[in-house]
Amino acid sequence: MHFKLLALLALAASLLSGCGYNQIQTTDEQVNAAWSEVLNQYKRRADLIPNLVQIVQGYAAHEKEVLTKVTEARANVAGLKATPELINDPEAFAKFQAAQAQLSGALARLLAVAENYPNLKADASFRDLQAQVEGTENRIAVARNRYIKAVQEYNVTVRVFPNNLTAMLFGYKTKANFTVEDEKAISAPPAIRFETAPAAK
Amino acid sequence: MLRLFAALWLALLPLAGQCAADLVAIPPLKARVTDLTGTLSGDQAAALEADLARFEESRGSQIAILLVPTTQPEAIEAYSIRVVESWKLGRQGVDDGILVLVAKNDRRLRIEVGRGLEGAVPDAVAKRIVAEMIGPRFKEGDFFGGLRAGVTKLQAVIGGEALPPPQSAPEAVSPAMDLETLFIVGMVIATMLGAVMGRLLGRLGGSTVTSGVVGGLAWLVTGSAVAALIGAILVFIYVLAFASTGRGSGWSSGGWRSGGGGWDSGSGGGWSGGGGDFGGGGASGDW
Repeated sequence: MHFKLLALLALAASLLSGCGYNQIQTTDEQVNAAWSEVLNQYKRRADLIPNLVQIVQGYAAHEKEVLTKVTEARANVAGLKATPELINDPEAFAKFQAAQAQLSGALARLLAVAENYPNLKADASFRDLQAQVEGTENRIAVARNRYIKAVQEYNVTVRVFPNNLTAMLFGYKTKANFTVEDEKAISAPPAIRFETAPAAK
Repeated sequence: MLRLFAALWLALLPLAGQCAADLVAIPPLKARVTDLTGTLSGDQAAALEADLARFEESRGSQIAILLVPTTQPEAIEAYSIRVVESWKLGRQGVDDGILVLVAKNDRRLRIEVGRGLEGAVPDAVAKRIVAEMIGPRFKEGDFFGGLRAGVTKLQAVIGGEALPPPQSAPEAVSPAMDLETLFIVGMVIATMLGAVMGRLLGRLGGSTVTSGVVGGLAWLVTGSAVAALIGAILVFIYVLAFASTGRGSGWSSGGWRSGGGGWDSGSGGGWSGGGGDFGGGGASGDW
């Protein structure tokens, strides 16, 4: 009797791991880590903006419209709760994405406008900030790319048989991912070119 | 209708291949300086190589230089992150790798900074090195001079960072047991346990318990549920078929030796990345 119970337990243990419970845990945690990195980099960008706005204001105060748009978009982003739970709520996720995309657009316009002010472009602290924004945009792209891959792996894990039974049992659902347009935007060369116009040409 | 589908499928087939083929391939990492454009002379490449090797020896940080003709259709940033994800420059956990990437025909260059060096080489510093040290020399056609100046500056900047000292003898971290050993150990346990359990519980019960135990052990050691399950099933069949009748010798190992071969990077005098992680930090520029 004892042996039979033991045998049953052993079978159950091997079955549960065979049904992908551990795999779901692993990929789920990878998605969480990738998402934290995305949030982290978005935060980093949001933190850079006040300084950037201040410097641009110093040289181009009358570009009010562009400056206001950036400030508004940043406030909009800050108003959304960027929690790790966001990825389990497709609607909030879409909203968050839209807000970040709006900020990206406003920021791109601001930097494009800055190109028209030679004094601003020559300012050392502006150039440093520009490099930081550029680097952060790239980090965001990298983090998003890795998030996309992590979610793909997780969603496949949750969907395939027999993991889908385990997932159903423990309430694991597929997670929201960035849309195809986003992916295209990532693989395409960035629309913003911060570099000074090539003088040699 | 069927024809239409077939035609459509045939029409789409090259597209699928195209996507992968379009991107510039990542060259294998063999040396610190990889010049696919033939820009650097043998002496110049060797000088840079020696300089970078010396620095790695004294500080532990891995810096590599890659010159490619172009990264199109990708942006240099996208290609660069693919290269470092594959090369894994820098020590694992320290993440102190740097890639200096030059796309010669695009007239673009990038310094890709590992996570661990983002403090020592922030984006603004990387940008200055690109724009003020490397770029102007490249503009004059002095590629070696630009790279040497950039690398020297990078080394000076990293020199100020408190990093763990390099290990004198970089030991390859090998897993506690490779798959082959695991297989043998598993079979020995299976045979012994199977014999005992077979006597106690009968064929079916003995096989179940044995496979459960071996599968559990395999799971603990390899950390892979799939491997454990495969192992458990194999053991189940094995014990069911042979153990209780005492004919264990009939087994020949088949099909359970994956993952052993083709994993030989690092040895053989070459040079390989240490497993460092990159997060997209650094700066790009043109000349």
